Amino acid sequence: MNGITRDGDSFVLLVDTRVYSLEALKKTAYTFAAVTSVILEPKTDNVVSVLFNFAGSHSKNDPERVIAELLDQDLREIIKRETTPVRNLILAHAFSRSSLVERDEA
Amino acid sequence: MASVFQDEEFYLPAHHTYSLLPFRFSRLDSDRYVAVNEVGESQLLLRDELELFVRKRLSQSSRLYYALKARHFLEDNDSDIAADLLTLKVRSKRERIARFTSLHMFVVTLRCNHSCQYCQVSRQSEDRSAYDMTEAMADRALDFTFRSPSPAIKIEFQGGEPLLNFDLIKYIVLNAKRRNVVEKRDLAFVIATNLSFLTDEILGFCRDHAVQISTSLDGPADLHNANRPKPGNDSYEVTIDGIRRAREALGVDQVSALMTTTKASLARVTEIIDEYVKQGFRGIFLRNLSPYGFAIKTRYFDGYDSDSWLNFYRCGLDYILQLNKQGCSFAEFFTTTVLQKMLTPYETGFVNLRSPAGIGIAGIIFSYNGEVYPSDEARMKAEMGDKIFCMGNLMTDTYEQMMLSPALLTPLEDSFAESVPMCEECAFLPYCGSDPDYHYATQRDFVGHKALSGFCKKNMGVFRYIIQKLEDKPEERQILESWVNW
Repeated sequence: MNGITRDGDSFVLLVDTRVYSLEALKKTAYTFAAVTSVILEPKTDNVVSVLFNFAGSHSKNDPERVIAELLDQDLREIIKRETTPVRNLILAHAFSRSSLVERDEA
Repeated sequence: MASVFQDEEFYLPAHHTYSLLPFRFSRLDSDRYVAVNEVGESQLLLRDELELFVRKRLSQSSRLYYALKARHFLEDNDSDIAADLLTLKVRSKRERIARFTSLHMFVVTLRCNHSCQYCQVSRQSEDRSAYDMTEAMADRALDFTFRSPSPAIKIEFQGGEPLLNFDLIKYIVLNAKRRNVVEKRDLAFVIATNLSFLTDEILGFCRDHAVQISTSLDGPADLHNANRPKPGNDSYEVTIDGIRRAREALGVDQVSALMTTTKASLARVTEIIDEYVKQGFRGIFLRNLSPYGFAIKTRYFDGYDSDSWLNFYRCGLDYILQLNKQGCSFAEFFTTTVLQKMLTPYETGFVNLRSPAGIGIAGIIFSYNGEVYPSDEARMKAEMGDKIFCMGNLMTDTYEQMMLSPALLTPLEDSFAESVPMCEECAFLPYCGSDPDYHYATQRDFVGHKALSGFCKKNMGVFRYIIQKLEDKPEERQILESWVNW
């Protein structure tokens, strides 16, 4: 995170995408869709500018809430990366003896 | 005196480490997070603890480590059985999917003597027989019903007021039982009725054929009568008298009641609960208004938002728990459904808390005109002119054509919460479900944007409140645990 610039009901985050992925950023924006509009704009190869406009529901804690959500999304990416193969294995195994899975004819 | 033993860390394996098993997490409140695994087992953590755990820096001798290990959030060198155990539990949780459609609803008539503003059905006047299902349609509906592979079949009669076409109810019950001599399913019947047309003959038939009664009771007399107007303005009196007679004829446990929360109900939750206690019910379902059918046309659905209903629910649950502490054994049924998902390895049959959605594969409805819909809400929408969920017609389409129709498969395929933005990473996913009807009605999309979804807001509010009670209030936890097998 390179910085936060506040401007009335809006604020801009400059985010280094080597630290937080673009996907985590977009998921964070999606989560706040009920209370803000979001514009993402590339600044350099690794830096994205994210404008959050909280018009009508401004709270001075909005940037902190957004950053906390971004940290959560980052943590979720780690969990997803590590557990997706075992999750798929568990689901495949769980359904392997049910009639819900079509078997290939030998 | 020095210990003869080394420190605990000394006895840990030389290369002790652990692997994460699949789980999701969400904020519970300002300080705490809740992590939930694939089968609904949960663990509360502070943000720092969550970070330590995910980044593999959690001490293997800590109490939290053992709690997470016991609930299959991790696997280590000592034990690699967690994934196998999770597999078995996933299989148990998903068992219902393979059983397929159990609930079959027959709209035997659209006629009704009530004119409830919130009614989800666009009712017709009592004397228009054009709105009755025919025997030929009922035969085709029974053909359809027994095509389901489900070992348990429940046939529910709906309306309008179904007792206005009681002859057809008798016809369907007798024919279903005749077919079941060969089919050998676990067959059950229920009539959803306002009890206005209950006669001794009807009660005798219900007793002889084990037909249950489900009715509407919105609260004390003034509230009930205001919500459910009918000629004579005596719906409450008729309902209470009907409940008494039905219990005498069929047995207390064969009669149930449902309430609907209107704007007028919001400030009166304790009175509504008191009414149910007074009438001898063992619990209540604090049910919110649905944005379907006539409730949309009359703008009744706009009467309150999710926050208002959540406040109503929380006050009601608190009051019910207080009653239990005073010795009155009474439950809230939406809470019991959620508790079953949270505290047992089994899935519930509640249609709106399933992923994939329960439309078509948990319940299905045959309308009075032969049209088939995957849910009661879908046929209500059709009554208002939108037939997007219409799967076909009993008189012209085959079972295969209807069960494989895009009207069912498209919303069903979209309803896997595990693949839906925001749901896929939500801790509460194993407790929640999909509701394509709701999201189509409110956002014109089967999936819907969850940040804007009243369904999501309502359910998350309920889940958080129940978890906080389970974690923070030992006395209330004991009461809530007793509701799991209510």
